[in-house]
Amino acid sequence: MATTTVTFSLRSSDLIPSQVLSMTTSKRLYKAGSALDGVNQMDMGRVEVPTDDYGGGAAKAYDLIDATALAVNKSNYIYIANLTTTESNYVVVSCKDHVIGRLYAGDFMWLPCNFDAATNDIDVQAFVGTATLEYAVFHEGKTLTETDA
Amino acid sequence: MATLTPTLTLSSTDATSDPLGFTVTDSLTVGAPTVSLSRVDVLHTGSGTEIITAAASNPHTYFYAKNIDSTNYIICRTAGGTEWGRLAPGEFMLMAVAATVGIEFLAVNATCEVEYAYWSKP
Repeated sequence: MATTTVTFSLRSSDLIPSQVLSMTTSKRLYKAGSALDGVNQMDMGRVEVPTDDYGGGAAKAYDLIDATALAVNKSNYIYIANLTTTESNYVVVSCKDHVIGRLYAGDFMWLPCNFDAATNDIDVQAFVGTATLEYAVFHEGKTLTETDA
Repeated sequence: MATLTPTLTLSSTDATSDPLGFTVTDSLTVGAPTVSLSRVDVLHTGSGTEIITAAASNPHTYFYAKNIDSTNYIICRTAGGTEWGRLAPGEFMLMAVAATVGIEFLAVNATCEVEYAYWSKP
């Protein structure tokens, strides 16, 4: 098992000037149902998400993180950041073909996702312009794809 | 308008051969409606507890939540009931909630206390 820690903080001095916001929280990433056994697998990378289906027409949603049978009801901690610098460009994030979030330029998410079926992928769709996404998945299960013949 | 600075750090010395250590931060311009750090008892019956409604007039919302309960997990769903995540005891999330989607929590086994806050993108 690996020991992976996520720490998150929120700061603001002008949301409520008389009550400065300053909070930090931290958590180790564990396998589902465990408080001892850390998640031991990780995928991390960058992708470019086109708005024109690679020149083939209207924009589509693409699988960013593929939910597989071995990931069902297991821990899947997901980080997604939109590295695009053009403020008007955004990415819609979906699960089970339902929109759950939207990332504008520079924004990021940290989600403890649960795939309750192997088809519950995390999909992304870029709008306005091609988006560069950075992502990471810390998980404990994944069904590998058999090599092509 | 106000500025909110979220920072996420991921670290590990043994997840891979190369120690993991990266930090991402953002500077968010936020406005009303906002809800400062609050706590709510999330129900484990029915459809649970709705935190953000799915109203068509809702703005894009930055949403933070942490499961304070020491035993039970909560299910994270859209206000329409589509499950997409689970928060184990002590776990937290930062979400950029698309307008009209909403947030709903359902506790498993027993009522769970959850800390949350949200801010709107102007």
